[in-house]
Amino acid sequence: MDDKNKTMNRRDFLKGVATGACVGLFASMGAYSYTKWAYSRLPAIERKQADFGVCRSVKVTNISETSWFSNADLMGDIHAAGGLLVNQYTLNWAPFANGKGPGKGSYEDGIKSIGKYLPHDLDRAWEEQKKVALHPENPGGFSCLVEMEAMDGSKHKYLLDSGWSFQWMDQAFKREHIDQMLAAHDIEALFLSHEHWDHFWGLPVTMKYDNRIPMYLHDGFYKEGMQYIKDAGYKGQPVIQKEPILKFAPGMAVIKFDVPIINRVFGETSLAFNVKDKGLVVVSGCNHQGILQMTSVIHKELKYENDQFHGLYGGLHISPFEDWDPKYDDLVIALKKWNFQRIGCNHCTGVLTAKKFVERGYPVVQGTARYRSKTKDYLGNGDTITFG
Amino acid sequence: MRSDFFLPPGSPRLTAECLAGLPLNAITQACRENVFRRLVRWRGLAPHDTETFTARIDTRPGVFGMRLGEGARRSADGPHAGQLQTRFELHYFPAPEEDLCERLRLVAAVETQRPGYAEAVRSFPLFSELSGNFLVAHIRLAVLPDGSALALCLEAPERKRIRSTQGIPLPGSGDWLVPPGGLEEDIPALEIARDWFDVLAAAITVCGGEPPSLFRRETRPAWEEQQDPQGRWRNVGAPGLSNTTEWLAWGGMTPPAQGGAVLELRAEALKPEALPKEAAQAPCWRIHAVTEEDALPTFDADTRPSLFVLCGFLGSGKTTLLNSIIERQRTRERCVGVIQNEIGATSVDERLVGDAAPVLAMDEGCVCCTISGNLRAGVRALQARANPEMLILETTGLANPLNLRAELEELRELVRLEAVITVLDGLHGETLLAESELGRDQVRGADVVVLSKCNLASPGQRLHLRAEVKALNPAAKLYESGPEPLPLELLPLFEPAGNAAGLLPRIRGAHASHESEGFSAVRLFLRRPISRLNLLHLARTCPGAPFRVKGILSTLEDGPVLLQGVGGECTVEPFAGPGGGTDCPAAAAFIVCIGRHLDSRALLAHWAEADAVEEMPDAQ
Repeated sequence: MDDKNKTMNRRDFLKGVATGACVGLFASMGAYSYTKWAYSRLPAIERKQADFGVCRSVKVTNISETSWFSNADLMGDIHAAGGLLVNQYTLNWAPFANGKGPGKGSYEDGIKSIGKYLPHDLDRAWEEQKKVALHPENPGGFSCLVEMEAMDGSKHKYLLDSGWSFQWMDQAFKREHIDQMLAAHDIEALFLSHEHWDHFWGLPVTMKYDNRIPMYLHDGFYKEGMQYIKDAGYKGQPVIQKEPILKFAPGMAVIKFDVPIINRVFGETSLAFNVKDKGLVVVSGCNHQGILQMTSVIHKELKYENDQFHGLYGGLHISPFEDWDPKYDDLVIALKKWNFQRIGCNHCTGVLTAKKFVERGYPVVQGTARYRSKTKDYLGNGDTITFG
Repeated sequence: MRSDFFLPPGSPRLTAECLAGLPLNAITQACRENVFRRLVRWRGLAPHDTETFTARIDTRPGVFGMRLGEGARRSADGPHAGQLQTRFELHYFPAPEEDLCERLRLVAAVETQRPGYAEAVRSFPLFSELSGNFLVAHIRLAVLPDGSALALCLEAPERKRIRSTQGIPLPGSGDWLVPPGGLEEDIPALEIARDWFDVLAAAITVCGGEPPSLFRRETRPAWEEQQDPQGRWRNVGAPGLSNTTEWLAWGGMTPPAQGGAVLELRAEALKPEALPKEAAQAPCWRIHAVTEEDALPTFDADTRPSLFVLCGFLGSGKTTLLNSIIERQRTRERCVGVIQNEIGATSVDERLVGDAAPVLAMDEGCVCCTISGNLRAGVRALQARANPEMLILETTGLANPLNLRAELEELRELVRLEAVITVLDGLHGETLLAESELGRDQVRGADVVVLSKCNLASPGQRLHLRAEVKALNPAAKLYESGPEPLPLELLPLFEPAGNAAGLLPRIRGAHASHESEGFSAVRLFLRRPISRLNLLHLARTCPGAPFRVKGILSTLEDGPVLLQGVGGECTVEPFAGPGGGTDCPAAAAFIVCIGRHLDSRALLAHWAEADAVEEMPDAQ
């Protein structure tokens, strides 16, 4: 207890002021006028709210979300090759394997062994690769069919990503009749979200059925990726998105994030839909930049119905970082802020995270855990979800 | 210099957006290297949006905040024509208990003591008038239009000062809070900012693939802020102090000069010994250069994986905790190696952990008692197969960590011993500690004790148990877990820069081992499926009252199930792992009973209905 006649200890004074014990003291302090007592909220960061139109509904069919079947094998291979900064084409996985071991693969060696079979004899190509690849039974792949209904009633089909294993993806395509849709040119475009093995290396499977489908990718693909588009049999001209937001159709935009991703991949795009009377729907491959960045950018840039985030489909990474305050390091908490109304999650979301969502009563649409999808908490292979 | 951490490989031209996101991208990429995080003592980052974030490193208790200052602009002419430049503002928000708070200007100092300060810091750009008071430095970035070279600079005063010429009286008395002519604010801005600048420089070195090729320091006379009697603020020269601008450049870049006394070092002259002491210690000089495309940086730092030892009595919740740790690391794409052992000859736990992490089951027997030298072999095998950053040794339920010490010491050259974590069942813990010397040793030998299933225990139970644990081991950190098996307080331990105080010093003398306490395991194969009700009844009433009953078997109603029993409570749940499930061949159904003084003949008779045998039936 300080004697009243001594100078008060600075810290005690501060504590007193902050807790309100000396309210009004500062006001009487003459030359200094400290008026900011509360955290006065300044106007929120300016929102551009660009109008990109509206659509009636969006239906997503999960062709495959099981990108691979053993995470232990996958991570083991990556770490044997040298870790998360190693170029994915050197990992010696099908279809770019050369039998020389982890970290010693190359795009050129791989394509040399299978180029001649693409895209008409995918089975032969994959069988050849299985002889030299690490963990040849591990690849699966990610791909989904997106059907948008426009306000005029017309329906438009798009493919997001083309998976990995030629055999697994062909099987999945046939199961969902994607092969027939592609051959009939029913699917209007293929979007490639990013260059990762489980989203992109299965490109020949789409090419087998429609080698002229309009193809949308972005400027984050490396030279191997650009070469693969040709080697996979594509006969058209891919459209390379450079701008962060591409207005694709009324109520549909493609959002691009320029972020480095593991194993020498750069950038990822996601699809954003503005569904009438419902709100914003995000359809993603992985959300490598983190779902929080996604919502933050959309919130700042776009205008959407009811100013409401309505739906989410895909793999949900919260953030590439651990939060410095572990209390916040929780997708379940973070996502609450945006109040999504309908969620279909799978792939890299994580089984335990999905389970937590369900347990906490989030509006997760559950699946049927068929065709090797791990849990009903995922919107699994063969399952569908509709928004609007 | 590689530019593909900020410039899309398909875009040869730089845009302003590339610059704004550059610091965040550099850190995103660099953080994928475990050794980088360890080298810079990384604690974590919370993005506010794509350009703004807060972050923490272990060097300081407070939080750094970085946001874009003036937007990107292109140099018009001169030797730096065409360079894109931008500027960031760096703030430092001290932790409320830091002494630094008292040296801040009053309005800022007061805010640090407010409840709600920590949350506000996370969104500091929303309070820009307030957060401006915590500005410590500017960080400039200059990049060549094709991304082939870049330069980063730190601009900060040696000391940031506000002098109160009139003094600040303490209201209601004749005393001074700040005497006339005294300093209202006096913080070592440059020293604080340098800690963060070093992290950025190291991240750029990792991503760019080469160390800086230029160092330049410019100094100018500094000033302090003063308010004149009319209330106007002005800058007044502060003799003896300087404002410093320090540049680091990569890829041969020449950064713009601002004048003032200069120290510049390039290329061959640029050696850590030639640098000023504070600059020489920066981590970017300890990351070795890389010359080939796709080759990886090497680190002059500890590359050993971390080792955690998980102990805990039978059924304490150890494996559940392990699973949640593995899952968390998996979402960060980090590999965890698990070494496991179960005292029963059939390894149930390996199947439970499933394929989430590479598992090398050790041979039968308790890892501390019967295997000597094999722990080392296990670690080596895991490193060879998967090279994980983190190893977790899940000891058998009956292992005594005190006996493990000698073995763990021998591992120090292979692994960093981080912590021994003992899991204690919140419900049964008190009884266990009362009855078992082994149980008490598990607590004594721990660095961290986790009381599990606390949501099922009463507050009284929890309080008593906490007191018991504290009495046995006052130094250990004590955490509780409820429905969430992984206590938040454990999370910082898993970061390479972790808080772990390390292992306790060795305690001499032999310690209670399970053999001396009469524990044993009996394994029975059940050749005939029985009903679920019957299964539960039999499991609950085993002769000899085993502590734990576990098994994978089939019931008449369910197909493959996992049986788990602890201290009289039993559960049965569908089992879809290896050995069960619709697309895997069924392995032989079995149960393992673990307890004291078990009589295998009595158990065989008890389970006769399921046609129990001790020998493995012939495979079909």
